[in-house]
Order: sequence, then structure tokens, then C-alpha cells
Amino acid sequence: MVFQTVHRTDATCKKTQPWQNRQHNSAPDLRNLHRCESGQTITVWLGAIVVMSSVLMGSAYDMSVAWMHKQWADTAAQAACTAGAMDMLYAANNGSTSTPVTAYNFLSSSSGDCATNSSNAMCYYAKLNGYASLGLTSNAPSNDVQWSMSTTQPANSNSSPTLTKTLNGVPAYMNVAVTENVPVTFMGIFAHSLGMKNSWSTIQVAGHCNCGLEGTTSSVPANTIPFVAGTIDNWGSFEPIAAVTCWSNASCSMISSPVIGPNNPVPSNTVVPVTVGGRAAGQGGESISGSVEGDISCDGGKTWKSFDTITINVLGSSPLIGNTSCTISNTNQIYLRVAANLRLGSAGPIFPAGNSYTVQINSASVTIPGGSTTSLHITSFQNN
Amino acid sequence: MRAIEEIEMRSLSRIELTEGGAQLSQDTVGQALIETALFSMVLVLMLALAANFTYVVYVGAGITSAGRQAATYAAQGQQATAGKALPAVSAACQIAANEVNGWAGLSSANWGAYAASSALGGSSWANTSSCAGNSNSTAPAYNADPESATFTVNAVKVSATPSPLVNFSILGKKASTILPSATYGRTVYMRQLN
Repeated sequence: MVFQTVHRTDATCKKTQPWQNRQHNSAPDLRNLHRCESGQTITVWLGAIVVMSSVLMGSAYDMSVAWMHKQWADTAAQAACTAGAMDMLYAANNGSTSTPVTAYNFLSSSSGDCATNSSNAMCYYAKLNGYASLGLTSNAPSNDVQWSMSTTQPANSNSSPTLTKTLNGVPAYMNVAVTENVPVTFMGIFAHSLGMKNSWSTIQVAGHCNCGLEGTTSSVPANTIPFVAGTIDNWGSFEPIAAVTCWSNASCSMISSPVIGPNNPVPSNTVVPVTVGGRAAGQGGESISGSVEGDISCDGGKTWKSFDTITINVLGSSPLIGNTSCTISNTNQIYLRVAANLRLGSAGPIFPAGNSYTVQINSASVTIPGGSTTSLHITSFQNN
Repeated sequence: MRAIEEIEMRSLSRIELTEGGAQLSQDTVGQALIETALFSMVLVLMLALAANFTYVVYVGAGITSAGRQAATYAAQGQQATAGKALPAVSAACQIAANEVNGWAGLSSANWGAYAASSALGGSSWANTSSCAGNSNSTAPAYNADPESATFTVNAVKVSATPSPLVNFSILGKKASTILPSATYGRTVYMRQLN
């Protein structure tokens, strides 16, 4: 039975193999039989494996390329979201509902698409990272960047948001989505060969980023908050707008504008002028009496940058305090901290009653009611 | 009877097989081995090419990740402890370098990282730092922040020229001399809180 079956399959082979005519009997010739069929199986398997391998490797190539584009989209989304969040932070810290340059403002909108509204920092940074956002086109290489703002913390059910909106009513969170139609090569060829025209010309990938602001009870990075004047209450408390509270007879903090920053470093042993002074602003604008003595100190406890020197000058015709300077010797430190201690040499209020007085630090000043404060300690932080 | 017929048929088969058996063995011996060997060479070659292509994808994705991590660190590195200063560009460069350094197929001469940052209101990079010595790597193109009076830009560019991970030989020629060589680079820009 076995040979009969094989013999039938051998018929075609005999036509194409003339040397088989030498056979005399009707029994199948095993030698020619194997010659004719030898390699058939391996040929079929080889062809199948080559086709399957090509499909698999082609698909792997296309998916690998798509995965790389996914990484790029994630990066662009992160850069765009970071830029937008910094605008949000700027607005929050400056009492504004707009970005530093009004033309780039987006904070008044709840969402947007960079294809139709590209004038904001998010779209700009997405473009810098390779996503110009001209809008998605079906079955063609293209990309789009969209953003939306939110008052709820995204995708974190384990943490209660500390902020929903800033004091100026700007939502505290935002999302940026970068979508791209990535062209495919081999998958497109396979799909076209199967009659699926345009079905696999592109494959869509997307990158997302959520970011936002967190409420804080401590100082935020000094370089984000300008030097602002605060108020002082009857107890001599100094309360800067920048949400740093201090009390009479304790250290008070103010956060300065970015005189010095990472991109504007101070070379070693450079004098950084910081001005602290006091002048009377009461009736007649009289000066404070010379009975007031004071000192200025450089607090080198924590945050000095290496080898920078501070020189403190005093304003006013009747200086309250003298000049001083200090050399910072500690490394890896951040703040310049300047403290001005004003106090009377004898018992009594630091400023006579009946007048109000202005203490000026750089361009900012605070008004102090006279007669109630026996000691005022002002500390200025400057980012270094 | 049926059993006897089966025995006869088996005997006949054995006889016929024996008649042509000697020639059959001479014709086919080693054939499968040769076919297997030939096919194995093709298969191994395909696997080697697949490994090398996968490695190129790995390098491409890796340099993107390195640039992103470094740029993020440069832009927000102070946020871990509120109020700290931003890292220097050399630190950002080192972050990227740490990501890439030591990859198989990448000697120190065929990858490079550049980090740069602008200054407020500037018109060119204020600070740059380079790591490693890929001659094909250059500083990233300068782009100012649209609100450059308030913010600055950090950019990190990482480039690499990977060699074949599986450097096989064909006819005495190494894959590194046969396969095309290319330099892959990716620049990541991020806004810096100044």
C-alpha cells in the first residue's frame, strides 16, 4: 500500500526524468523515486520559513520604529508639559493670570490644539523636540499636540491634591498629549499585498504627560519668586507676600529676585552687592536717631556657595548699620542669606512711637509702625 | 488469513527495499545533513542580522532616554529639595554619559553627549559641556525660549555610532565592514526654571 501511494505521486516525476525510462518492471524504482522527491520538503519548509521570517522581521522592524517614535513623543510631551507648568508657576507667583509674555498666554483656556493655536510655550517646546503639530492626516506621516488644564490631580487616587487652583484662579494641573502617525514599511507592503490598501500605511503612537503645581507651606525655589515687600503687624511681624512668615524677635525671610542664577554664576571672590538700609518715613521724614545700633551678619550656616563674597551697604544719611562682608566657604550651597539686626542700644522701641518707618532691602521695602517693635530681624534670601 | 496476508506484504516490502537499498543509501546519505547545514547558515545569518538590528533600535531608544533624563535633571534637578540651585550643565552631561557609557558595541570614541543651557535674554548658549569623544557629535542647535526674559533653555544632545553587536564574518569580511555604519543623534530641549 505504501508503494502504491508513492508510485502515484511519482508519475509526474517520470515525465520530467527521462532516465527513469530504463526501468523494466512495473514496480516502483525507489532510487528514482527518492531522487525526484528529494528536497521537496525542505524546499517547502525553507520557503515557508523565509516568508514567515520576512513577515515577522518586517513587522518587528516597523514596531521597533514605532516604539522609538513613542519614546520621542513621550519626551516631547514631557518637555511641553514642563514648559507649560513653569508658566503656571510664574503666574501663580506673580499674581498674574498670564504668562510672562502675554502673546504666549494659554492660562485662560481650558484646552487647546497646537495645530490651531501654537502660540504658547507648550507648542514651542513640542516643536523643538520634533513635533511641529501640523495636525493629524489619515494614513500619512503627521503629528498633533493637544493640551488641557484641570483642577484635579491626574491619575493618583492615593494622594489628595494639595492644590486645585492657584490664588489667581488658574487650574493647577495640565496634560499634554502628543500623537503621531508613524509610517510603516513592511507592514504596509504585506497589507497591500493582501489587498488592504492604506490600511497599514501608518501606525499611531502617542505620548502623554501630566504635570502641575503643588501647594506648599515652605518656601518654593527662590528663583521663582520675585523680591516682594510684605506687611508688618503691630507685633512687628514681617510677613512677605511670598508665603514666608516670620515673627518679631525671630528670623524673618524674604525671597529675592534672581540676581544670580545657574546661568548667571558669580565667579569666585566676586563681590555681590546687597543693600540693606533704613530710613524714616514718618512725620517730617526725620532720620532715625543715632541711638540705634545694629549689625549685619552673614549667616554661613547652611547654604553658601563657595568663595563668594557679599558686601552690604547702608542707605540713608544716618546709617543704622555698618558695612560688612563675609566669605562663603562651604560648597554645594544655594542661598545667600543676609541678616540685618536692628535694635536699640538701650531699652525702648527700635523705632520711636508716633512715626512709621520704612526698611528697604534692595528695591523692596516694608513699613514699620513705630513704638511697638524692640527688635527686628530681617533676613534676605537670594538665590545663588 | 488476514494476518498471513500482512506478513506476506511486509516480506515483499522488505525484499523490494533490499533490492534498491544499496543505491538508495549511496544517493541520499548526508543529503539532509548538507541541507541542514546550508539552511542553518542562512538561519544563523538572519539571527545575527536581527540581533544587530535590535541593537541599533536599542541604541536609538537609549540615547533618547539618556537625553530626556539629562535634560529633565538639568531643568528640574533642584526640585528634589526645594530651593536648591539648578545643576550645572556638566552634571547634566554626566547624567547622559552615565546612561550610555559601557554599552556593548560602543567604545568611548563612538558616542558623545553635549549639554547646553542659555542665559536670560541671551542669543547663544551660555554654558556648554561635552562628554566623551564621538567626532560626529556636535553641540545642539541653539534655540531661545519664547519668553527668554524669564526662562532659559536646556538642551542635551546624545549621539552614537554603534558597531554590530554580533560581528560575524562572511567570506573573510567582518560584519562591521559589510554593514552600513550610521550615527544616531537625538536632542532634547527643556525649559529651565531660572
